Amino acid sequence: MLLPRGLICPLLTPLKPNGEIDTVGLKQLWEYVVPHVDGLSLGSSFSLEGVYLNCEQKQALFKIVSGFWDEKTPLFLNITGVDEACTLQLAQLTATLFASHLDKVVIEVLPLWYRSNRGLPQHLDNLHLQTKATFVIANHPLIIKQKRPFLKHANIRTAVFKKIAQRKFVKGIIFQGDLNRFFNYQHALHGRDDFSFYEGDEVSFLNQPTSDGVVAFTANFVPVLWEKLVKQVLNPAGIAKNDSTAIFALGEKLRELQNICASSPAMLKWALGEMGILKEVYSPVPLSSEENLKKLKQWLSKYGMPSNPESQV
Amino acid sequence: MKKKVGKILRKAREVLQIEAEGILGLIDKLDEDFAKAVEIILKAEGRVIVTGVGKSGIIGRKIVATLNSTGTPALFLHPVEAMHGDLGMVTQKDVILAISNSGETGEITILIPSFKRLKAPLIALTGNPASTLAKHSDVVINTGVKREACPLGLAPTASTTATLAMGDALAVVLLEERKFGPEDFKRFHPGGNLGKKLSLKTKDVMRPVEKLSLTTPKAKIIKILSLLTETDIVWVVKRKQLKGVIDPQAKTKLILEDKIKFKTVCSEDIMLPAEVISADVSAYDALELMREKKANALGVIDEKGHFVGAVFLQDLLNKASFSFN
Repeated sequence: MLLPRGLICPLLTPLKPNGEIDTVGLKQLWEYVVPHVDGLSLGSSFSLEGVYLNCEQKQALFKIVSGFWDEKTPLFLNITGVDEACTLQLAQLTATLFASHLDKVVIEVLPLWYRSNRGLPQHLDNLHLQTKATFVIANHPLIIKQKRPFLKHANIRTAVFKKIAQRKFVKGIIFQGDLNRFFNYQHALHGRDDFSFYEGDEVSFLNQPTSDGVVAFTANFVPVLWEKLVKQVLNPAGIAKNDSTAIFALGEKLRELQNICASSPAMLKWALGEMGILKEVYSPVPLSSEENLKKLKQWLSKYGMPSNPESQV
Repeated sequence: MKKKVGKILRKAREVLQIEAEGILGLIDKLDEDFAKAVEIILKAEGRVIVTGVGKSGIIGRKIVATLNSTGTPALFLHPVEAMHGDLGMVTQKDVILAISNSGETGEITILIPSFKRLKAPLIALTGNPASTLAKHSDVVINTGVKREACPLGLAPTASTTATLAMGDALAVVLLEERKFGPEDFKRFHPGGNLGKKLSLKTKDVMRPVEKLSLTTPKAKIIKILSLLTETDIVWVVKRKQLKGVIDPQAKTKLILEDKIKFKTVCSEDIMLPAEVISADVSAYDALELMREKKANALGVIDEKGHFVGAVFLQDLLNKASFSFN
């Protein structure tokens, strides 16, 4: 299976205050985002709330999506649970739910969320046994540090990554981390021409874009802007001379939005609620601060609502 | 200020590292397709037609220059000009090398049907093996990099560097396969520094006869004693013909004689045979002859066999370094 290249949106999970999935909101958000992305990630740690969903919520999410997924949009299913048992359970569930489409879905996992580097390759072998699907691993030290601030290795160690990269069923990584680690991982990939590197940090992508694509959290809110930017970035030959200024401005716009929303998915949910896409804006991660909300309002008054076609230019 | 300098240097280092890693990453991407591309170009009776637009076009022009100077005839075809008639320069005997990092560049993909019609083999240098260009190419050389160094990828950086390096790899492998030697290089580089080192003629580096110490075969040693002490080498010449040379070796022999008869001994009695070379022979060959004969100087003669000067090892070494040997 060839992994999609370009914009991957870690879809937010619309929730009711009682913790149930807001199916209507999910469908609306799906329809708002899907036309503009190259892939969707469900329950992703890069949505900043995916890892905080409990096992039941993730199971419900996968079940709902399996009901209306059209198979056209590549789907990343993040099976990361609170512990190894929950992750295994989610792996089994995805294998059942998507049994006839395992060639079209990708299993995403952030293993350091619930375990250490020790024995990680064998753990992935075990997960693969359950699903027989293609895997993408996530390296997300920022969110790991949120949960376990005193953990020594919040990143997948390079030596461990080297062993993981030898497993053909692992076809990519969603990477967040420093440049040196990126190079070390790249060195560890000997002979893996089919391995994809997705940038998990929007700002890093804006500064030094990766060629396989980006997992952009703010694409939940401004998918059209991200679509435009990613297309141009991955095909620079297509940038006409006059357009470069516009793209630079677009990059700055997205950078500002990312700075405001980086700490909490609740910010984006609030904005989606303002747009009328989500009725329920509850998030397991609270709003970062009133000040940030104020900044988001300023951003909206400066650039306009994304639903307004003029603001998308 | 110090902080600003540090930031500037850190950023510059990052860019260089990203570009270096981009090239290193290509090592893993090299596969049989590269060898296949070399085979196709070697077998081609025509030229390598390189095409690309934007930065890829600039890289393409450099690849053309490298191919041409290393013995693979190549020329650049601008895709837009190609659509307006320049496609006529492509024949079935040629090989097309199309450069596009995304593999989706409109100006290139639009030409694919024309290339196919011409039945010239198409080699793609692209960073996207799943692209339209790659799918329609006979051979795909993957030049993909994992990261670009420029914000928003506004200017392709690591990818163009990687393509350039891959072009060099192609040119050098072709050079090796063609057994391209220094003489071939000289033919293509009459003006360049490397070519200059090899293309100098002996007459360009020789000292003319007027600046040499000369004597005649019948000259008595006593008469030329001062000349012998002043210069290392005295050339023995009769009617513009070089008869021999009195070099330090000959002088030593003279001193070692039991009874030196300065008044009766002539130049021709002690002189040694002189090694000569034509004025039109390359300096490189003069150096080779010196090496072979273990001589420090050679007499230079013109087409009539007249002694016109001498070339000295010291002068040759000052003129150029002969690294090709």
